[in-house]
Amino acid sequence: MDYTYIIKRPVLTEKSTIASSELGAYAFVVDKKASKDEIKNAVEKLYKVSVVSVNTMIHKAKKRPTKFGIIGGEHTKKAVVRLKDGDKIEMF
Amino acid sequence: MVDNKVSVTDAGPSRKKINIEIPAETVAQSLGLTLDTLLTQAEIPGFRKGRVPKRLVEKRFGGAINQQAKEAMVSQAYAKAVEDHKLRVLGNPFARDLANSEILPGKPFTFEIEVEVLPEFDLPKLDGIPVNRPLIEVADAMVDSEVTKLCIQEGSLDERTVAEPGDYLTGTAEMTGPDGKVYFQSEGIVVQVPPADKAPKGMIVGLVVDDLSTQIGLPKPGDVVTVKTTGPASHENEALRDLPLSIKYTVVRVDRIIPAKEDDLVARFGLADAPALRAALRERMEARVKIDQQSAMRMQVARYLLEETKMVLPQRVTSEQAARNFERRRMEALYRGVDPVAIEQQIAELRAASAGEAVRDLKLFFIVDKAAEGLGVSVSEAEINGRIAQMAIERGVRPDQMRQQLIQSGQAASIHGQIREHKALDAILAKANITDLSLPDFNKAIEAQNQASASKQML
Repeated sequence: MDYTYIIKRPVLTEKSTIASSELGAYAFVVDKKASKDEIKNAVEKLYKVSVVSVNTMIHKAKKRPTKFGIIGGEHTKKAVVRLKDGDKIEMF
Repeated sequence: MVDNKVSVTDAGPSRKKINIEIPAETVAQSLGLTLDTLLTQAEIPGFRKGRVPKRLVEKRFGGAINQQAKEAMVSQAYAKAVEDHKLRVLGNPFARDLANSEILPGKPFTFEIEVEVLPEFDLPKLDGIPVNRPLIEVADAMVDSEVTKLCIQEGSLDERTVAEPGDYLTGTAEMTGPDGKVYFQSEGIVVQVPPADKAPKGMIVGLVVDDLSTQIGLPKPGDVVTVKTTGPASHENEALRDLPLSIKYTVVRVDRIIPAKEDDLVARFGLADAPALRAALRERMEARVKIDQQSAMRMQVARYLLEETKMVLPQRVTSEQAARNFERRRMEALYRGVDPVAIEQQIAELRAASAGEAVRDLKLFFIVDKAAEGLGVSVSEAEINGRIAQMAIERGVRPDQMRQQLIQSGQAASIHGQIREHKALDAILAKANITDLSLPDFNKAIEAQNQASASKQML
């Protein structure tokens, strides 16, 4: 299975960097239809780590009015994956 | 901090090769410093300014960090090497492979720079140099000739359908080499059809062509003429030297200068009548005569210095040296009030002059520079402003306009060099043994000196 279809890209922000270094929690943009189990499997296979928990959330895209009507981007799904103590992912 | 390993070797007359090895510790220190600076400035989405993780900055801006650190290290190491080895560097340094070399953390960085330096030589005795001063009087005929020149300068353009000798052509020029490579291309290039007294010699795109009138003929607007010539041996662009060149010139318009009338000049300059105009011109010419007198004496000092100084010089002048020589000549002509067309003509002739003459100019530059240093000559801001004002009077423009023109044409820096050279020569002249001679006697004396120099060179 192509796990890169599930894990789109890591989320690199100040908040996610602190979470990864202090709590061992890493954030990824994932496929909207991916389940927590699929995300857990994908992260474990891609990064060769053990996942303890997965929290997901839908990030709703902002809508803005234009002269053609109201348009907005696609919603995205974010997953925060917590790893077993001692495991690590090199984000950059 | 560990010192750099520097070795300086000769790379020909008045050139040195500087080999510098920057130790690994300094490289690491410099990289760290550049990264720290960047960390405080980097702005990446998702992070506040100054909060971006070090590794992310390294990954994103690794190339830029290396480049910045390399530039800082090279400039510091070069400046220190020049200072430590007391090198008198002229012009810009030249580094062949520096752009392609990369710095690697934990490894020393080695590079090589070639510089042009002031050659080592001894100055001759500067006291009591024999110099002749020409006594020139501004005659009525000279004023008449100046009035005629001014009438042409202030004249109006009359568009013509066919060119005649002396007319000005405006058009586009394209200069190509034997392989078809385009070396120069520009619109609005002005070419004078050689007038009867100067034909067949003429100038096009800054090059003197011995048979220009034969090649260019008497064209009409829309005509395309091809002029064949050879690149001068001392051209500032080394690629053009001794190269067979073909200049394709498309004539866009033909103009003739209709000289202004003397009465028009009187009205234009706000003077009372023709005698007042002549009086004003005479005054200006008398000032110019003094400059010419001083220039003639400076030339004699220059000749003495050239003949009495022994120095090893490069066989060929580099492009920077040639460009500097041309700038010096251009500035000298500007100072002496030579009109712009004649200046460009002089520069074109200088390009066509033998390589020996260019080397001679270079030698004089080195000698005068050393003499200026020995005599403690310095140039103040007020002196530069004064020289610009004097040039502005000669040109008939405002000093601020003159300053702007000089800055735009990149000649402003040459003024400092010119004043320094003049002051050094004047300081030598102050101790010289000066003899006043009438103009015919002066010309005879100069002729005799020329012959003596020529026979000395033949020996």
